[in-house]
Amino acid sequence: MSSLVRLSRGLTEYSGSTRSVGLLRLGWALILWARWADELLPYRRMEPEHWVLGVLFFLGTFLMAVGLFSRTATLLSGCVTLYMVFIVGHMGGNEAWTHHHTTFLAVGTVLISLTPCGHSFSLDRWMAIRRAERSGVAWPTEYGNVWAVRLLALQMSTIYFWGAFDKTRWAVLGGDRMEQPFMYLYFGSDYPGDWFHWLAVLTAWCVVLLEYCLSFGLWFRRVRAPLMLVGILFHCVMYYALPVTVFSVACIFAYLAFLEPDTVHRSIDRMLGIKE
Amino acid sequence: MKTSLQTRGAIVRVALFVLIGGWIVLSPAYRQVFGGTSNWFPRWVMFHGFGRAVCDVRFFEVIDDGGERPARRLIDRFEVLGKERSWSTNKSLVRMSSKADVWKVGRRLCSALGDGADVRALARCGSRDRWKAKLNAKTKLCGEKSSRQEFSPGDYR
Repeated sequence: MSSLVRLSRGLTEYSGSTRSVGLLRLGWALILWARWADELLPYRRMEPEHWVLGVLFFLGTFLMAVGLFSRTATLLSGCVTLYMVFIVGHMGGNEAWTHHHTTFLAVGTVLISLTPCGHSFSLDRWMAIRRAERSGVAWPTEYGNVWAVRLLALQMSTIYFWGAFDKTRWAVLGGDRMEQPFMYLYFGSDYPGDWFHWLAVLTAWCVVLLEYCLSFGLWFRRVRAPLMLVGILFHCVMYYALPVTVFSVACIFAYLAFLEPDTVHRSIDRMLGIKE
Repeated sequence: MKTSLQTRGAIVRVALFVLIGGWIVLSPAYRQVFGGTSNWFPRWVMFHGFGRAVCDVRFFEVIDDGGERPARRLIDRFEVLGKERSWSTNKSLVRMSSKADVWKVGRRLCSALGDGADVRALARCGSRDRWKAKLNAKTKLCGEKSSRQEFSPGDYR
């Protein structure tokens, strides 16, 4: 029984700097705009449901970006985006909102709302500091229980693992399912030559192996930095070569969930020239 | 009082962790291993079907020069039709997406080459799986309708 309590405590009590979750909140709001803002402008669809959705989306994400009522705003944005993915997308037949990147964004938003994401880089913090100064007490610390970043990290690992699992089949590893998208986008109906086949096979094996490595390896401190560098490079190449849109930048941002919060805090201090 | 609130908070967090964590980890298994179809459980199958609307095609003109076997000459469709190889102006010629598209281009080549031309194509098209063989260079595209084909393993290499 006590080991169960210890385990649950270990999973849900993860105290540290709130700077990573503050950055995540801010970046995530910008990524949500990049994906949905244009589609949710009122003139895109002359329907009341669309207008309500748009108002809630912009209200939530704006407050999320500036960090005012941060957790509530992030939760509101999360609920709105979940509604867009599962109700409007899956149930309402809006296929473009059901893709993996939209699902990831919606789930990620809800997970960020479970953290004290307003304690750093936010108007909430600025106001808290003003209140403290007026009362003559010490500034509030950028510290809290950021347990839910582990769920975000878990979500990332799941995406890598099941993405690799789906590609672990001969159609992909034999090169065919690598050749097809590249011919579709770049070469048209003219097969470039034998070199293309071998490049496709090599790419397929590298991608699958990398995804399996990322799904587990990012949890281990010793290999985290090199794996993150390779992962960032992988996502950048994907972004440049394929129509993955905001998925790449969302994945790279979500790497913050794997980093120790206090390390992120110290790194930001160093960047700002603060020694202590 | 504070301890009771802390305990309640901890219980809520554990419940959320188990609930959300379970959903995150097990949803893809439900969809991708056990074949579940409910959309409430996401699957992660990036690029599973993207870019399959493309065919790998080679056109040939068969010339009966009186030899033992008719000669087979590879055709450059852009040269024969006098079109530029351009994604912006001749997209449907650069990328054929289906067997029907291959037939259409084949017929244009027949017209351009004139009466008596014998145009054939070796074509395979994309799918969610491996390439699917569609035309094996035995069917005459000039004046014939689409039909079922038989293929040999070495046809495309």
